[in-house]
Amino acid sequence: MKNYRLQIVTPDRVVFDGNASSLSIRTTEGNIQILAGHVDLIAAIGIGKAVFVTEDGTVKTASAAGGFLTVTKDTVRVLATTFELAEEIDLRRAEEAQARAEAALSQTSDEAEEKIMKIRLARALNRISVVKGGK
Amino acid sequence: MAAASMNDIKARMRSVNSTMQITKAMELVATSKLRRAKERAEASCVYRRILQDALVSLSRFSERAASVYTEKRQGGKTLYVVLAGDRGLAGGYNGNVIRLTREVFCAKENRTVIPLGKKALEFYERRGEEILTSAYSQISSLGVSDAMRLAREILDRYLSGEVTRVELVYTRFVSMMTVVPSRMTLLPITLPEETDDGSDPITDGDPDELLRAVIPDYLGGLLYSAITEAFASECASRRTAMNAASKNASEMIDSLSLSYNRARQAVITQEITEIVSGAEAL
Repeated sequence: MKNYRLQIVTPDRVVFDGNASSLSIRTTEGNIQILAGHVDLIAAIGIGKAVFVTEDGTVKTASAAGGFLTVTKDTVRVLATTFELAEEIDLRRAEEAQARAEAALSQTSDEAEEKIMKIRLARALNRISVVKGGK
Repeated sequence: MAAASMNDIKARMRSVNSTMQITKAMELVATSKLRRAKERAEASCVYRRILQDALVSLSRFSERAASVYTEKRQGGKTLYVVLAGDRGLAGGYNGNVIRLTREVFCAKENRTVIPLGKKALEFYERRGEEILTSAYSQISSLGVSDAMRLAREILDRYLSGEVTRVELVYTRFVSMMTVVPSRMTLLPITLPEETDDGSDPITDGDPDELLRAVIPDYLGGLLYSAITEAFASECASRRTAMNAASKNASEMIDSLSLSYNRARQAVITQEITEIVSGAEAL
């Protein structure tokens, strides 16, 4: 398979910088997969699972949320707010976050807070599903 | 009299010595913090470079949709986001940032400030500046999510027209020895000159919607990377300042011990002279 340059960064670190043959990720509009030769694209990243295949054929799974990605002339840049590889996710922390968000959701009546809590809950659930599905 | 001056010198030596112990300890702490802060700043520097590359394709993709964020507007206030340290004893670090901010300030009634770092907050409170929020005053504890929240808050005010320009004043971390106070216009976003990289990106969905999702993350990323740089600069400044202070203190101790020895010698000489002349008188 043809490779392209893939850079995955978050504000606090460089997650991946190298050649890859495929990246699937969830955008705000739905799941997409990017192979070499993809048309130039910009998309906002939603909350979901991301899978990319590196040059040597290793498949890496991660949970991604927020930020955006650009494709320009066979360079794919993923600028995520959070991007955690499956093996780095702390399952217990994610489950605690889920419980906290659910508890807060059942109590609050404030609309803005409810929105934030729903996003938190979605993130926690996403992390959990990435860890469990990744095994 | 000589004995009294000997005691004075001894007391000064003791006080300089204990000051030196403090400055040395602070230097060590700053050095170890600096190492971590530097790594953080370097990682987010990569992020910022890629972010700025991505902005080029972002702006090419829809100039019309992006114009809300790039066009100069009149009427509202100018917001200054000032990044200083939480603590002093960092040489000219805090002072330089505040001086640079004063140079770029517009008329008082048209400006408002978000201070990051306790020193900046204290300074602008004392000066009676209009402070938009002091929720982010402790700079050493700010993380990615705080930066994102701050970006959203700033953007809300920008889009509502309350604020029409956002300036960031921070200290750029060049190396362990060099830090440079700098400013950057956050909003309206200035596009790089050479935007023609031949790409013409597409997107699913509505361009306005996309920018609404992407711009806060872009700003948040910029803010976070500025915060990490500022913090690394603070540690570097403190280390340099404390290193100089320790050096000065040890020089002072050297010259004080020289005068102490001289005074001691003078006392001995005087005593011998007194004894000898006393013996001769017999």
